[in-house]
This record gives sequence, structure tokens and C-alpha cells, in this order.
Amino acid sequence: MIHTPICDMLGIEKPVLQGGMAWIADASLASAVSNAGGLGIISAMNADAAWLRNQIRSCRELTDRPFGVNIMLQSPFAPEVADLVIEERVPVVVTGAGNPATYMRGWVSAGIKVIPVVASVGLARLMRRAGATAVIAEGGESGGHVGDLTTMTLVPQVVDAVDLPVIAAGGIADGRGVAASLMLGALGVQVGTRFLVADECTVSEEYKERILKANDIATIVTGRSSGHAVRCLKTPFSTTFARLEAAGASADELAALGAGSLRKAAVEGDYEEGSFMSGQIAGMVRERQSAAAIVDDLVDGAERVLSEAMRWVR
Amino acid sequence: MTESTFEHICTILKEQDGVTEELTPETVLSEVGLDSLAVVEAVMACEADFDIEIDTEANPQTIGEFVELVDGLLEEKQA
Repeated sequence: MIHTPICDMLGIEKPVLQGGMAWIADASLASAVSNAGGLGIISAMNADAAWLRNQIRSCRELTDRPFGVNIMLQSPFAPEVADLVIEERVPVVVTGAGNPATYMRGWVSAGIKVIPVVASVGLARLMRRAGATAVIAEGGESGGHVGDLTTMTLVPQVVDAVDLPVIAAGGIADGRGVAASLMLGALGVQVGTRFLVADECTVSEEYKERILKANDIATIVTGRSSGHAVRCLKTPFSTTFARLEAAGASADELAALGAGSLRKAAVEGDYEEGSFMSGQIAGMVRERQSAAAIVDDLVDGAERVLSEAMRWVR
Repeated sequence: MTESTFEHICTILKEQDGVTEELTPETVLSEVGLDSLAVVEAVMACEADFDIEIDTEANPQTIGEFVELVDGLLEEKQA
């Protein structure tokens, strides 16, 4: 069994958080991960408070365990969603895509455990001062919005810089990744891509098949030129986007092209026009399983690896 | 606005982020390629250099706002 201080802090059995993937991480997936002993997370994505309230309530019908909400700070609805999580007494809030300092005071005083995703040491330090419970150090191996640093370089530097629990994310899909994260000083992991193919994940069949078929070099990062770097599978949409970006398309043109593309992939399964966001680790995701089987495999696998870790020590 | 704070911030942005553009108090940070992470890093560097603590909610948009923020804290510190 692997048990870290993150488990006690969040009231979970296993130190595994499920990534709050927009258009993908809904009440179905989040409740399944929470029921499996991890922390399921609903993505508030670009939706309004009414949509999120429904998701939170259906998650509560499906599990009596703690869960979280991921708030995307660039969403036009971020302010109303930030109020809603207080109103609904959501136990854990994870933030992505920016600096959540404006909302931190409200959340912290409402007793919400706030775990910002950070892509640099500076932001981790700032979040510690603003009252974060822990931070998720997410390397650029991950899918969706990405920073420049890798998990291998970012995690230990954040661990050294802040006296907060650090959760590693980006490139983790099996017990070896979990074990390595613990060795880098993290006390838990956040996993996205592997949960995409969970039985309880409601994403389109096309999306699941694309993840299962992906190999190690199947992803591409687009949008660096406009400061919105996104990692997704190489598909007609993303390769067209990359070509236009290289040809000097304006930020507005690229934004127009990208609008709605994730929904097309996640909901409609539109291979031609969809943006299939995915981490680099998709190449290792080969099997559809229940969320519980995935959580167990991550933790049991880590235990096996760690129990053999002394092999090379003389 | 003191000249020294302005110059110091410009030095940080040039050395830390490789900004090559001519900087003025009116320069909008995002327009010279500084995203929110880069601004956070610059704020943290200023904190260390000036021994001040900047409000975590501070979100300067221009070099001038950044300088005012730092100068305000320096004045408080001296008072």
C-alpha cells in the first residue's frame, strides 16, 4: 500500500488525482475515480455556473467521497464559477491556465483546499504565499495547455522551492511514473491521458480509439507563437494549425481556427476538425479499463517498482 | 516613479526574459512577449532584489504599473 500525506490532506486512500480535462472530465469520470480511492476532478472548462452546478450535484449522487473541480482561469465564466464552488462547498479546487491569486482569498477562507497547477517555480512560490494547500507541478509532457519545463526538471525544483506538498503531473501513466514522481519528491500524481480511456469516461469513441492507437511520437505542440501552447495528437486539424502557424497566421486567425475544436473531438468524435488533446504518454495507454482498475494499477505498480528500488544500492 | 526602479525592472526583463524591445513606462508587458508566468518570475526577482513582498493579487499590465507597485512598497518600507 502506498499512503502519503496528500491522502490525509485530501481525505483520499490513494495519492492519485485525475486531471481536469475540459469536455472530458465530467461527473461520471470524476465520481468513478473518487470511488476508486483517488481524487476525481470535474472540469469547469468554458461552461457557466448552471452547467457546473448540475455536474457537482450529479457527482454527489454518484459518490460520497471527496472530489474536486478544475477551474480554467481563462474561461469567461471563471468569476461566477469561482463563487459557485464556495456556494456548493466543493472540497478541492484545482486551477489551470494562469494565476488564480484573485480568487484564492475567497476559497481559502471558505475552507476549500486549493491546488493550483504550476509550470514554474515562481508561480509555485506565489501560490504558497496566497494560501495554496498543495501545488501540481505539471511538465510539458502533458496534454492540453502546456508549459516549457519537463516533469523531470520541474518537480524537484518546485519541491526544493516550496514547503508545500507537490503533486507531479505530465507523462505519468503507470506505476513506474508514479514511483519516479515519489522519488523526485512529489507526494502524489495527477494523471490525465490514461483516464481518457476509462470505461466511465464519456468522451467520444473516436477519441478513445485515437488514444489507444497513438504511439510515442503521436503528439504535437501548437500555439507557441501566440503564447497558448497546446499538446494534442497529430490529426488533420492540428497539422493544419501547425502549418498555418509556421506560415505566420495571426493570433486571431489561429484562435478562430481553434474555436470549438476540442468539443468536436470530445463530443462529436470529428477526426477531421477535432483537436484531440493528449499527453506524450498516450503511446503507453493500450487498454480500456475501469477507473478503479487504472487507479489500482498505478498504485500497485508503484509499490512493485519501489519495493525493488534497493536493488542497485550497495 | 524613480528612474532607478524603472531601470532595474528593465534589466530584469532583459536578462531574465531576453526582451530586446525598447522599454518605456507605457510598454504593455504582454506585447513584448511576457506571459503571466514571465511576469510572476519578474515580480519574484524584484521581491528578492528590493527585499519587499508584492501582493499575490497584483497583476501589472505595463512597465509603469510594475514600477509603481514596487515604488509603493519601497515607500511603505521606508516609512
